Amino acid sequence: MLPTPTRANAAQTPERVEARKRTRAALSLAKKENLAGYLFLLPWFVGLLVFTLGPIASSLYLSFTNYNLLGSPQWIGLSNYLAMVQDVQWLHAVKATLIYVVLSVPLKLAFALLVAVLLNRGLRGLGLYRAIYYVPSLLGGSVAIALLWQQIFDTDGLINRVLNAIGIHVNTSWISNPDTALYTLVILAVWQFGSPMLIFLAGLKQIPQEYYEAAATDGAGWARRFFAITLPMLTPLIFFNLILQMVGAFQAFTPAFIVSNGTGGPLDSTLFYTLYIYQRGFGDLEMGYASALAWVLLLAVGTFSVIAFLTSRYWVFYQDDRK
Amino acid sequence: MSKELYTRRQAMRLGLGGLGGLALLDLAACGGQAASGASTETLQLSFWGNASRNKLTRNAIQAFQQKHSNLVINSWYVDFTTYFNKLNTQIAGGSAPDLIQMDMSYLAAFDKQHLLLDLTSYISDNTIDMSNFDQGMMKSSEDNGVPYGISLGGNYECLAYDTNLVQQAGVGAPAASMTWEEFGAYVGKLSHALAAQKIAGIVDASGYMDLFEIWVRQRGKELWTPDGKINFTVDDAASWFSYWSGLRNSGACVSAEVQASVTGSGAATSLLTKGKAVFDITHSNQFVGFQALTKHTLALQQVPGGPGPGLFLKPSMLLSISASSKHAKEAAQFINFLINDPMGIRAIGLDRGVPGKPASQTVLQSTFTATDKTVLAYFNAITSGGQVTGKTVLDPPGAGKVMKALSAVAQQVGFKKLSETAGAQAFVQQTQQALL
Repeated sequence: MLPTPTRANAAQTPERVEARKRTRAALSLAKKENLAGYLFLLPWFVGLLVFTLGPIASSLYLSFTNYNLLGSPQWIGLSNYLAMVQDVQWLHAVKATLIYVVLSVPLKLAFALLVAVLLNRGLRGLGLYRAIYYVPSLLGGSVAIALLWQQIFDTDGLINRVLNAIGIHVNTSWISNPDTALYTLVILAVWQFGSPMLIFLAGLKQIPQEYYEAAATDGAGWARRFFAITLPMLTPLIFFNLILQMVGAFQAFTPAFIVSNGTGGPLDSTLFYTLYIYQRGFGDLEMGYASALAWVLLLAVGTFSVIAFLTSRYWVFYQDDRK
Repeated sequence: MSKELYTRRQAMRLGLGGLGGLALLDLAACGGQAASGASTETLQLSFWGNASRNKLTRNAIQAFQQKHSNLVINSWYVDFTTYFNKLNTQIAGGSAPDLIQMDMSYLAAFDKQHLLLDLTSYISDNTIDMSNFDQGMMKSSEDNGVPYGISLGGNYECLAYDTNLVQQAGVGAPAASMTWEEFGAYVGKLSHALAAQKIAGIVDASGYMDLFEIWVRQRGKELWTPDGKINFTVDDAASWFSYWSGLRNSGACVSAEVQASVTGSGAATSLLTKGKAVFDITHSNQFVGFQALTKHTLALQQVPGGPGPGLFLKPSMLLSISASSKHAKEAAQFINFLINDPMGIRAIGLDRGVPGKPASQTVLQSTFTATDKTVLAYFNAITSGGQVTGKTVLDPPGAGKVMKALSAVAQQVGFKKLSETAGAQAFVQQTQQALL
């Protein structure tokens, strides 16, 4: 950021400065640069219009129609939205998704923070640990992990074997029992704590060491330092991760899709909202209804995000607030 | 050394040149039939199945391509459970596969959307030679008298069981034909004998549409009326759910929870091949696939008998041509290759069912394995036995949805969220809705 002394200073002859001022006024370099910038953005912008905004707009239109993908859509007004209220499966999907979001997001953030704090102790080979703990996030959506999950939580899977070994005899298959199947997916989500952990780790490194030293001098213990310094200083990142993970959890699809082979079973217990959209849209070819479902999801995610932003002023602590 | 490296500009030029070349190739490909003999046509085939079927299918495609050097057939396959979702998505995207493996439960639905090609003209001009093809199989795969697909084989619903486990249980081999009650008692004995190993006599098949259909047909009626309405009653469904609840409560079949772990279809996810049940329900053509996945020796058993005959020859896996295919003629040639050319017949074997032409069976004779012979013996025994009655009514367009509804309701009954009667009412109501 500092000007390099030799060249820059050499350039500061009066004529040069004058010349530059003139150019700036005449050609408006800034505008020119903007123009070039927009030009470079153009391909992205076309993509945004054609592949994102266009489909979003057409899905809004389709949500008011009866559309089977193959014929042409017929306008049916609000019928799709009204049908949802009587749709038992929709209620199952809402319930499963809400439970998933409410449980998985806080647990995942807490776990990510815990690991980040543990890793932030000047460990040797930190890069390696970071990479290792990040791996689950990369693998989480893969078929292999879903199969692994089935093995772990099956009747004679790892969990039950461990429980049996310590004398607790369980004969249930966690993944095909409708009362527990959803929680195995929550655990899967918590296990993928990699990306919030990395963000927390970066945040922890930003906290000035002096605070801890001062607190230690005053006799503050480990817990006190964590709750009085670490946690408040991290709130902006907690907030950031919260929003990110919440939106992600609402949109979760792959784990349920693979673990239940697209059925959302047993008994709709893992019928995530997006999975239900997929089933209705592509399984039953009711793209109008599926679009309406998607818009309700969008509104729900929006509402939750707004609530999070509104409450943030009461618990998120920014350093520049102190002025 | 330095000669092997490119400057940025050279690399750029190469890249651009390559792209340009590709674009030209694409253009050439679009030229289609007008282009010279050197150009190739690319067709796509979609089917459901497993890796072993894929291998057989690829072999057939390879043999076909050797004879038609200007044709390339690409293919994709997934498990039956997700097949139609994927296919629908692709069709909605405007690029239907040229060759579509089709199931009878979806044929009418696809025809209703005009997605499949009427094959009459290709059959009459002998592009697809249907002489000596089993008439029953041909007729029962038509929709409103129009052939929209050629069946690659016929099969019967059947039970497959693990003979090693039966021996271990010491209850004696199952009698050749049993009533449902006798069969229930028999699998109950199996469960009892194998309780220590947590192996049940049979899977919970209450959610299997194909078996429910036989249950209804044994009561002297078809599932559907000729105009595509529901033809079974709440009583039919309730008696079905009650039968299975009886087996479940006595431990003769697996628990609802174990059954819920089966999320796919076919041998790979079967509780039989996983060693958790002695009996499973399948189609005779899939028997080979089951046997391939276990070291135990499997055998075939006839579906239990009811008041009347209920089995029917199911034309399995029709091969249809997309109505929008630009290569319909070539696609028809491929179908013909599979049912008439010895190379094609040998390549796919019995995997998709027993071929509709007697001559094909002769071609296959020399290649039969012991497992194949078991299947064929079973097939012929059923054909000549008294339990078969031809299917007179086609599956209506909503049949695929009804299949899913039965599986969902059966699970609710299994987990005791619904009584047998309430389940039957729910199923009938959902069926009516699906058929609207």
